Amino acid sequence: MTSKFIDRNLYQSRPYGVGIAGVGKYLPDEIITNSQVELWTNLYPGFIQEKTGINNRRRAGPNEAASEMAVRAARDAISMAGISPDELGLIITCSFTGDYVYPAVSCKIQELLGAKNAGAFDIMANCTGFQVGLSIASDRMMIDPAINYVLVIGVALQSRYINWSDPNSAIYFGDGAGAAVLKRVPAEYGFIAHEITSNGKAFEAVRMRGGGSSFPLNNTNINQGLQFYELNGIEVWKQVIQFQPKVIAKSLEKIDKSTSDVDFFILHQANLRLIEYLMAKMRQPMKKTILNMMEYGNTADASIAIALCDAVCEGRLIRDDLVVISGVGAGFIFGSSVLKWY
Amino acid sequence: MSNEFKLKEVLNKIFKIEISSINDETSVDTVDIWDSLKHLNLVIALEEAFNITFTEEESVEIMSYPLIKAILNEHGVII
Repeated sequence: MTSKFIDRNLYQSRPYGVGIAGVGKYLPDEIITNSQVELWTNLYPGFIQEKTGINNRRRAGPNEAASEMAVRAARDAISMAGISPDELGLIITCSFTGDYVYPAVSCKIQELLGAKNAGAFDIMANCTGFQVGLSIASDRMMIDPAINYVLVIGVALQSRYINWSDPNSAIYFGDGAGAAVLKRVPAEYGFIAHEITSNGKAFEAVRMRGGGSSFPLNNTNINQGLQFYELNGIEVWKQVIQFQPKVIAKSLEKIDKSTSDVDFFILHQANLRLIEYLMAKMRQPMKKTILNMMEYGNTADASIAIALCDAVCEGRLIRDDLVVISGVGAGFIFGSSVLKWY
Repeated sequence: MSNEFKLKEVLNKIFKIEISSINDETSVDTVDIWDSLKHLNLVIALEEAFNITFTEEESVEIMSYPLIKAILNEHGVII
């Protein structure tokens, strides 16, 4: 059932589309194995693999900064796009683990890249951040013809916010960065629909309170461990199974398509079991998606960006493919973008 | 094969519980290994066994044997 309020001509009569010109990723060198995490969290051997499909995750070095990780991924994306940094009109970084609480890490990235003509700002939509970033970037490019290229980055340096003895959070997360450069493409290609929905009723389900204005980092709050992630796993899967299939369907309805029309799904890499469930629920074979959480864990904002990079580099996306990019983030925020691959 | 037996077979396969012990007390609260992962498997297995599609809300609600029967009934599967 499609909405009568949607003007499909909007997608069919546009002067140009916005697609992806280049991708990049960066993963820190240090590998943290399940055996290590199971020892630290007092879980039985094999627990993490069984529950999540994750085998390893990466951890940034003690002197590594989120901005440096982001720049490494960004340089690869810029290189693949065949442009120079000063051709970028905008940099959007999706992160909740930037170098400082403020200012926006995007501004540091702009400086490190030498992207002197780019505006730069951050967005926070947690694990669906990169999808939200892509939607903002493509919308900006559709509205402002002066912007020729936009760099969207997802970066997560989470290991410093993990209590490595807490099995609720320590088993999932890893550090990493991914990036994409967007450019204009022929009108029939590129992003053709986006959908973002939220459910604030689950606001407390996944959170890091310390450092927020309600819980400043004083001794009292630090002694309570508020500087670490807190995660209610049961609530997460309830949110995912209730709302992610809906947001994907809604994005496709906007262009009179359904999941059976989709050639490839790039999904947030939170948990292999959830992705297996989503694909089964959508009656889609697993070969139509990409998996990398086995080696990288859940890299939050970087997750979709890294999966997109892997899909491109493995030749999984070909011209004319209908591609869905979808994620779920704390808040909760659900997002889905549809593009025709150029 | 009756629908009731088919349902109990699914529960037996997912949760490794004896068919004879499945009753209205069987739920997420009484079956130790009924966790989020097993629940996802249950949803898909029931859909395949009865050739139905649960709504997203139903997928979360089917947390006990009585609730599963009630929601299956709503899909025309009489148990």
